Amino acid sequence: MSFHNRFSRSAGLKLFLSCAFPVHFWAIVMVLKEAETLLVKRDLVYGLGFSGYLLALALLESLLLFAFIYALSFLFPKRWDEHTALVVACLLGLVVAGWSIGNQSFFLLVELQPAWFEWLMLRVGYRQRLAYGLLVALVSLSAALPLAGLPQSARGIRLAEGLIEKLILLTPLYLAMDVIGIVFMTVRNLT
Amino acid sequence: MEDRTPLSRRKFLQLASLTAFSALSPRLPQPASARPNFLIVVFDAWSAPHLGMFGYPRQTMPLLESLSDRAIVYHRHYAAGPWTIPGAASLLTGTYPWTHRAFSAEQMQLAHPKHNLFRALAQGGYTTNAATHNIFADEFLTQIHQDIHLRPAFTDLFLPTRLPFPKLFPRDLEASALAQIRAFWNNENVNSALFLGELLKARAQADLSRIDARYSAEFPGGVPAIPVLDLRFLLEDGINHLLRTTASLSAPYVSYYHFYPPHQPYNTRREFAGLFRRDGIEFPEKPLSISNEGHTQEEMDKARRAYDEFLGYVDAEFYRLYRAMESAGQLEDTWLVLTSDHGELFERGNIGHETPMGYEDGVRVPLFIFPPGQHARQDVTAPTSAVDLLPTLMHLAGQPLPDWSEGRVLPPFDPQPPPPDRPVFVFHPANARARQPIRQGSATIVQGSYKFVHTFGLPEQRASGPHTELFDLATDPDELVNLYSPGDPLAAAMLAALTKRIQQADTPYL
Repeated sequence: MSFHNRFSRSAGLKLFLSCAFPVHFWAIVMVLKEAETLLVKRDLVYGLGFSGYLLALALLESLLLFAFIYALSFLFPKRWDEHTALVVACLLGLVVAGWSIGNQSFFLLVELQPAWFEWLMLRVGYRQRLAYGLLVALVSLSAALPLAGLPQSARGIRLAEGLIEKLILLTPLYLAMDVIGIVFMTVRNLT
Repeated sequence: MEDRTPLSRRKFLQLASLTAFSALSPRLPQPASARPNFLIVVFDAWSAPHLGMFGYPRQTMPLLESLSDRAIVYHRHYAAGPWTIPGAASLLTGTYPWTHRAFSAEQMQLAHPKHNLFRALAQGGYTTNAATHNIFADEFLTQIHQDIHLRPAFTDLFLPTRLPFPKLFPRDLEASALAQIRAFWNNENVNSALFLGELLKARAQADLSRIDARYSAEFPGGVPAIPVLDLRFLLEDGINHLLRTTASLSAPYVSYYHFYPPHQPYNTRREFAGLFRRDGIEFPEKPLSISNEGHTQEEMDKARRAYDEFLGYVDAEFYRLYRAMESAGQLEDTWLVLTSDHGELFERGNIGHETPMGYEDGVRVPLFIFPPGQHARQDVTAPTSAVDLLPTLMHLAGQPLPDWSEGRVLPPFDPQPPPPDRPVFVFHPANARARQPIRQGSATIVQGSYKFVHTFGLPEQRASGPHTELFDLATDPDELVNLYSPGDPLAAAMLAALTKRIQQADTPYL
């Protein structure tokens, strides 16, 4: 299987949109978190400029996530048809981004290390690489296990597909906001 | 470090419109000497009682003292708040904390952002410039950024880590720097970048390790740092930045540099580390304060020694700054103001400046004013306040005094000397709500030789009620004997004056 025909153009676009959705969702949450600073303490032009940087970065991260998931999709069993592979790939992107958002929002909401993380660090003698390795393994397993069983269930595929279709509905709007953000960024760096 | 100060689009348009207008309007001749430059140097958490010239048993800053014969030295100068947010905001606005309403990290919005030093002087034609190591002071500079013509990015005063935005967006440093912090380097551990954030943080962490290793011989206790932001800096770089910037400013200018030392952590330079280790000086034990943090005398003495040794670093760098400006001829038309936003204390179970109690070490700060051409020391012993700085500079600039400032022109410049019973206030807003009437806090009033400290509504005092202390600093400079008794007429008068001031300030929030 060559690189270019793992997914058709429309399937590739759908994969990109599903990767862009969680990344942009989080970026917009972070922009809104700064809304008071941006609008009350500063001005609208500054706020749009600032938002432009975060949205442009979200676009870059969406492309990176897309490239990563696309590359992973070459490891999928060859017996999977494009439709199944696409659904699994989209879910994979959502799970990876979901873990990252969960990690961030934990600090946003609680601001303290969870007890289980303290427990883990104690067990690994505060060796950060080992801790990171274990956490990556945990994330990989959490993604791989449910997805491994999914292609066997036509209903599961249908449900997942429906979910993805709903989630990516707003993504083109986010991408349009990226374009506006990049324009603002460019103007601020040219004047 | 390279100076990459941005000229924003808004500023460009403002300057362009002014240029167009000035071509049409008649220009009055203005002799350069008529309006002097002002350079305000603020060292954070710098306590006046720690100076040998004010009676401290250690000679912590001998070089500064050697320059004092060119200065007006204020012996009883008080910060308006006991930590950076209320204190620095008062310096910049000439108003007390109950007026500017910058109370805490969550409530930092200045109530009247147009009432600030830079705008006031800019209206008289001054070029304005400001930079700081302190993130809270930087927040204030951000709020009044439209009044500051030249403001480097916050990160410019720090040792560089390889975070990418300053290099990628040199023309939009301010917004891009904030975006970078929010994207990759947020001290709340919440980043907008889901994946790159962790990678870039790991890279920046490696940079910090490299910086620590590189300067470990020069700074044996660690490189000067702002731990909560994971930033490292050298005061030398900050001073060099100041020298470069002020040399390029068009006169007349006002320049404000707010440096982090001698704020914690007290990471001094090698030649000062251990300087006072075996000097045998013992400091008297004082009764525990109502807000003591439980530090032992040994812990307080150890921290005090580290602080005193850190002052040596500040002393050396300020001396270098003074000499460099002098040899460049910059001091011939520049008033150099040296002060602090608040003090630091190591007594009564406290280390640092977390206590709401306004004891001398925590709230009495140095103020040295070096006028151009001054060759004899002048001493001012009347109580003065940080809020006096703004009207004093306006007076020296020959501009009308703003009616919103709560300060007055400092002696000896005020043709009318202050009344001997003029009260000077220090206010700690505790957890008071900025946009509601003040229901809790701690106020210190210095009036004549007396100091009155009154705390009210603090959560830890729910059971015990307000707490009041009264000292006669003339006979009891160490504040050991609390003279307060209920019904004391002096204390009652001071409390009434305080209540009136707070009620007046609260009027818009009733």
